[in-house]
Amino acid sequence: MVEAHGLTRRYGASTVVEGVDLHVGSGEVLGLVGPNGGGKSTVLMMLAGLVRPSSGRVTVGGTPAFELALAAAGTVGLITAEPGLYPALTIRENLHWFAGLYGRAPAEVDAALPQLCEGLDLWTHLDRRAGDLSSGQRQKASLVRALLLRPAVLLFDEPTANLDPLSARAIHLAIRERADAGIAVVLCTHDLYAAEHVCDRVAVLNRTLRALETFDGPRSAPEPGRLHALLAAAAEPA
Amino acid sequence: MILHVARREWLEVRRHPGILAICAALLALLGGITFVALVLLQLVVADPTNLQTLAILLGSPAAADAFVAGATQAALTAFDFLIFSQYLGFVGVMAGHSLLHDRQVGTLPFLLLAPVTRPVLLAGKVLGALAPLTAVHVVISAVGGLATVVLPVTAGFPELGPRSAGWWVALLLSGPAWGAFVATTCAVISSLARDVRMAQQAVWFVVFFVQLLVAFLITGSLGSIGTQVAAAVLGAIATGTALAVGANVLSRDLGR
Repeated sequence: MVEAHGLTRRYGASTVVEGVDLHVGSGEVLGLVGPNGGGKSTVLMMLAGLVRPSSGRVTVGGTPAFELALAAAGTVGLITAEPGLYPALTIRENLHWFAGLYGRAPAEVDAALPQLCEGLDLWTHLDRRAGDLSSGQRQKASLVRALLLRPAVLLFDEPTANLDPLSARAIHLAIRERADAGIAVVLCTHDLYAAEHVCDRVAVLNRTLRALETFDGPRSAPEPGRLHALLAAAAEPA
Repeated sequence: MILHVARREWLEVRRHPGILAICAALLALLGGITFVALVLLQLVVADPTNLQTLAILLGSPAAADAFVAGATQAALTAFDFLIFSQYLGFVGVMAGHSLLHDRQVGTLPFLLLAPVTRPVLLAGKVLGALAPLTAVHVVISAVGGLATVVLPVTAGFPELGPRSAGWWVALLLSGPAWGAFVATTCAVISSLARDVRMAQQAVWFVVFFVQLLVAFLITGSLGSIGTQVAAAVLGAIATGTALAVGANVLSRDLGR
């Protein structure tokens, strides 16, 4: 579903990401872990088609990522650490407005909400202003916004940063459920516990791809400390 | 889709009515001060004793008449220039924060991910910033202008107020056309700026020069319909050019 070959991104003289190859299939969760500044978010934004690679190629369902917005809108759902909602608008107004950009009518959004809000404890907050809600509630609303478009790929950029453990768990459960329903997921995170328990494979990034760890089934117990050791090794200069 | 993009800005204005109230208050204040000044001049003209006193103070009846005429013209000219220039300032500030606001609240990636072309996105932001302020400007300036017509002292300067068709063309067409140019340019600035202060400085720079142009083109020739129509056409061309250039400047690449 998602194919990346030789992804490289330079900012002036600085190379943030170099020669990264990735593949994510339908129903699979790929974790991206690595130190701060290691290029995880840049890779994710290149997969979303929001940052153009300096060299290399990304396709999502065969469409070049940078053409996704106009050629295959809604294929990719994005959830960033910052929920990206207008604080003066209610959650429902935010959802109506963003879905409207994709030609979805408010009635269509309202009809889909009961199912999408299930398990997220969001239903009672839909008519409150986004700015009045907690980070966790806003992040859940951001997830619902992405799911409204029935995407084939979901990209998460540190979705549980600054969330309480219960909200983080709700997000992790939702990620796993969506993957089990056939959505290809890329989860960029600093949370190694989540990486070990939610992901099928984990890529360790620090400018280049340092390691690619495959777990034997998402819910099996990984080798204790294995990811931590890989991350520590990746923090060393290449 | 342009209207859909603009509608979000209008929802925001509805939640923060102070944005419009401040613009309305300033325009109303300008109208009020002008009206009071004209009422005072009217009182001078209406009472021969006052005129005589003024003549004694200024040295001759002709000087008193010239003073009243000059002061009336100055009040009307200042009112016209200020309503048009301040409207442009408010439009600039509003549009100059449009896409920067999206960057600040984290909605920009979601906008760029949506199937909205850059010209549509820019036009929606421009319309969103322009429409509410233009409505406020037109209503309050029209009321202020019409209030001056009831005072006979203004009859000698029909080109400076609602007695002139050119004034109405300026209010309804040339002003908004140049407002659209300012909004477009400032929306592009807001897409490039990473910092509010930087955006404000750039907006101020643009508004300053457009105000000078407007003083010359619009308030300098309110009596002429032809000049006002030409100013409106020029404003529309400038807006179209800014939209075309701006759409190319706006990047889908967040890394830029």
